Amino acid sequence: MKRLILAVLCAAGLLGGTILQDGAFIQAAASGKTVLMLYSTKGCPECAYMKEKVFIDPEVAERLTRDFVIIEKDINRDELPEGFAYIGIPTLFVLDANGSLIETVIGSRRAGVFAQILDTIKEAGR
Amino acid sequence: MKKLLVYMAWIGSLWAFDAQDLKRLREEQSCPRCDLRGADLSGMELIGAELQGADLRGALLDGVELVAAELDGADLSGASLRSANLWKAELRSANLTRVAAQKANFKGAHLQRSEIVEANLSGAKLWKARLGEAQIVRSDFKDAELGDATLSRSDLRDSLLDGAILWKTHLVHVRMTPAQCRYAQSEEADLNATLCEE
Repeated sequence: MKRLILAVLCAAGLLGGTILQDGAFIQAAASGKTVLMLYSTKGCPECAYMKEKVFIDPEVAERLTRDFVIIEKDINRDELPEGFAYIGIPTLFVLDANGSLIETVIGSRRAGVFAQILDTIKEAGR
Repeated sequence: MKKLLVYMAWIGSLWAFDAQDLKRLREEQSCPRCDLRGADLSGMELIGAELQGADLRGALLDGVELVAAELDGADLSGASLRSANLWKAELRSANLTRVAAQKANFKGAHLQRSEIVEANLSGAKLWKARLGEAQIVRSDFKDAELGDATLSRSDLRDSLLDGAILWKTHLVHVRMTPAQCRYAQSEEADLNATLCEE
């Protein structure tokens, strides 16, 4: 029965491999920058706010371009890497090049607050 | 002295819940039209609970999980809902007078025709909440997140909106002060037939 459930989940694309097997992560990590893995989906206004308002805010965009790479996972369409469960969206997993979790940011933030979070992450990584 | 004791007993009775009703709620997660005045339900898991028309005046509901709960017509006046989770809860025509709901989660909640009078909703999350024809009076929405929420026929002029996220908030036939209107426009709210006047 367990195998059947696993087979169904895999067929539905709901279970991915590990983060180190994730193509988007591998590509992002190769840049040497910190990876921000965003879980979102269509019809999530808070996710849209982060993508269409916060990430393009000049204060945030400058930091993102300089120190981070964003990869996005649609929770209803994409394979989600093992070990990265979520309780709500948007959820942003902050990952180092080894796929280790540095921090998790759940929900949206104002651009100014999010810029401060990025600064804290960068400072901690030094 | 006797008069004082009688008065105190009367005051106490105003917030005395029915113990049987509380027991029923704990056991069945369902208690429509129950008397739960002043009950301490803080931190409880009441996901999908049926509490239509329940009397929850002065109840302690801090941190309670009321995800998708049915609270249409419930009286929550004076209740404490700090950091409570009311994601997709149904609160049509509910009375939220003087609730303390700082940082509560009302994402996708149905609050049509509810009474939000002197309520503290500062920092509350109201993404995609439906507030059509809600009666909003002297309430605090400071730093609340109202993105993609819908408000219609409400008068917001005596309520606080400072720092609130109004991104793509639908404001239909709403009355706002000119300053509130300018703020809403700067937040990219959708002002439809909104009246901007002092």
